[in-house]
Amino acid sequence: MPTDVERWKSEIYGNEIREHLYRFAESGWESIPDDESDAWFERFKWWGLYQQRNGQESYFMMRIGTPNGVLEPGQTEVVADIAKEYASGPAENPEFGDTYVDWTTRQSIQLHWLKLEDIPEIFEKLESNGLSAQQACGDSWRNIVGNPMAGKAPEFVDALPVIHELNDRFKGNEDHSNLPRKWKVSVTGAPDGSGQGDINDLAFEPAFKEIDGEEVRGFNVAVGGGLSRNEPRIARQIDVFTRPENAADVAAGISALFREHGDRENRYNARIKFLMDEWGPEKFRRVLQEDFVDFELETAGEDLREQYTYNAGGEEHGDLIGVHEQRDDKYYVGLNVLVGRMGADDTAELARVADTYGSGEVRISQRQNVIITDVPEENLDALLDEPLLENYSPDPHPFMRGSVACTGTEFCSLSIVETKNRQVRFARWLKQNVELPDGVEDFHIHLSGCTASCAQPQIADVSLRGMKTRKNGEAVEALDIGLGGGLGENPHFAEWVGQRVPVDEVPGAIKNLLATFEDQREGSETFREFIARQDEDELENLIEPEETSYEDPMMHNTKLTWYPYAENDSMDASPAPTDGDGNPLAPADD
Amino acid sequence: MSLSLLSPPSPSSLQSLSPSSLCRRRDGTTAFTMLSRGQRYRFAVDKDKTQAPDMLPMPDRLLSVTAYTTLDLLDGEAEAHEFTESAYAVVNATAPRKQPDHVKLEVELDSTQLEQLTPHADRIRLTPEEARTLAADLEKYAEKVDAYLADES
Repeated sequence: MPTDVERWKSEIYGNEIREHLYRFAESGWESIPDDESDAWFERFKWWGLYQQRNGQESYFMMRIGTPNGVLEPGQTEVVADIAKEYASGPAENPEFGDTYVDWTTRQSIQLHWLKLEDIPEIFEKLESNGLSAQQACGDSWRNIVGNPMAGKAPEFVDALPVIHELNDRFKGNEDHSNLPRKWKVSVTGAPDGSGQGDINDLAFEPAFKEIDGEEVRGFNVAVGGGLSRNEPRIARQIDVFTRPENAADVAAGISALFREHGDRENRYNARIKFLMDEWGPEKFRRVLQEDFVDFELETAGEDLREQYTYNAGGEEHGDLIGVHEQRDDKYYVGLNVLVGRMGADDTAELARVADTYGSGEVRISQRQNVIITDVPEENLDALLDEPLLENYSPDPHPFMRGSVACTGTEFCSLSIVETKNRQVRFARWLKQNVELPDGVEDFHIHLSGCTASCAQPQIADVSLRGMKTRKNGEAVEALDIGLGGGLGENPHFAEWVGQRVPVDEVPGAIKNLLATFEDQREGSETFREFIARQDEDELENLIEPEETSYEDPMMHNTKLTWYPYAENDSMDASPAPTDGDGNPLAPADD
Repeated sequence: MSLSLLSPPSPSSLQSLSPSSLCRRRDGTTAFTMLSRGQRYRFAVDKDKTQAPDMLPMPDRLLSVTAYTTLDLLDGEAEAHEFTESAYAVVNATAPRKQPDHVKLEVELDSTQLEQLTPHADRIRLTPEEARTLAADLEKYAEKVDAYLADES
């Protein structure tokens, strides 16, 4: 028996959802029949729309997919304008105000508090400026990621043309629009591992191979990476090399294989990582060759994994923050956006600064940061003097640049704890109160609200994941703590060593952890090496929760509020559902 | 073989130590712990990293925990003939998405609180009728507990 989602998808899915979306936008949120709402909200994801959580049910999050995180000149301003016009709700966030833009770990953009009635206008504004929310969510090709500076920073092989070709070929492509599950693709040309290919369903990573006596640069292909559902997997090499010009054909074969062989009966088992578990790379390659491509696949070339430094545990940041030289003698300036959230006014200012000193282009990184590109050397000083950079630093403190957080209970239906504002408080407290050991400049702390892992906690030095515990007789928000995750030549997922640490004791636990690291460190070993040499007991002993001067105002169960920061946060006080003007459709409590 | 002290840096009385079991560390070296006057001392025994196989990773939770999980903060207990262990627990009631032909009841105790028991989750399959029987009993006893607590207060 197919799942409900598969049944809904078999009826209406892909491009055709749009006409229904417009129909409901015209007739209003309340016109969606109750018994069809689950089906429609599932389908709307394909067009980048997620219904916000319980208590905010007539509001939507929109994800805008920007291939490789590239915002062409003018597009950042469009995003800021749309945010200012449409993305404010009935309550303010105390840290970020009433309107803001989220830069995501998959180099996309998320806006919140959108009303269904406004979606057609927003789509038209996006699309007339070359932007789109198509397939940003749902069971199809998601936003393609890579090193955000592809095409401008040094690369072994040019990735951006391949990313554009894949995006053009697979966005809106009826043959690939209804896959068994989401399909995340990374294409990297840089030799440092910065495309995070290992955690994607399909990864193209730089490689070279001698073919007909000539050294050819291209990509090795890996399949089946991903972090979700407590089942993290590193993508597995399938012994395939492709020239850049053939990458789209190889990708089409693999995507079609997934379409035909992925598990449509169990969404928990649907990602291709589970098919890879079942088949192994040899069978995967054989089936791909026999049934899904009509050319001879090349065997794998020599990869560059030995050179991978990005998030490899060493002291090389790899996050592209700061001032760096481009291939064309111009410069790019990476700015730290704490937890990836930027006020809409600041986003407009970012657009202005990028336009004034660079080409107007802005790029989004997989660490939720932004990069201003194409800055001539003579403009650098003036750019670095801009007031915007006081809040979005090109030289941030390690605890600031290392922080990543997902959406959390503020909006998300899955999360069980507050995340973004909490991670801001954590980072500020740690910066004020904790010294990093000598030479440690790169220290990643990722906070995810649940096991879905949107903040990619398993590849951080310190991984935080939402949980609950009891403290002084009260149920309070808590975090599981993992240690020692990262990518590089030999990626390693975090070890989950602490469970249910009350949120107000987590900063103390991190402080104590770093003190122990400093105390027991052997020579100049990295934090990841330090964690790697601990046995199970030792690892558990590294977690010493402690109350400190850190205070957490959101200890209570925020998922039970309609909005954690509302003056009256009880579910009964929710104004939702609301109409197209934001007025409640029914009494708040009847 | 070299012997190096791992922690704490300055042992006060080594003569009265008694060794605990040897354990393999994550980088392939071997370590052991000694206890003296309530203080744990850790020693690394062998720095040869090339011989030992990789350590198994620390166990992650087996059950996903999201806002859809039925109950994420419960007091649990596991009883065996030789021991009883208490830990926080997660309980989830659901039906499989693939062929939802039974109700699934899942229980997992927090692994970091377990000394004896291997980290695991338990899963019970219930027919709809069995699930309703269980629900009815839960309701019945919930009312009994409600009544008792009302009397108490």
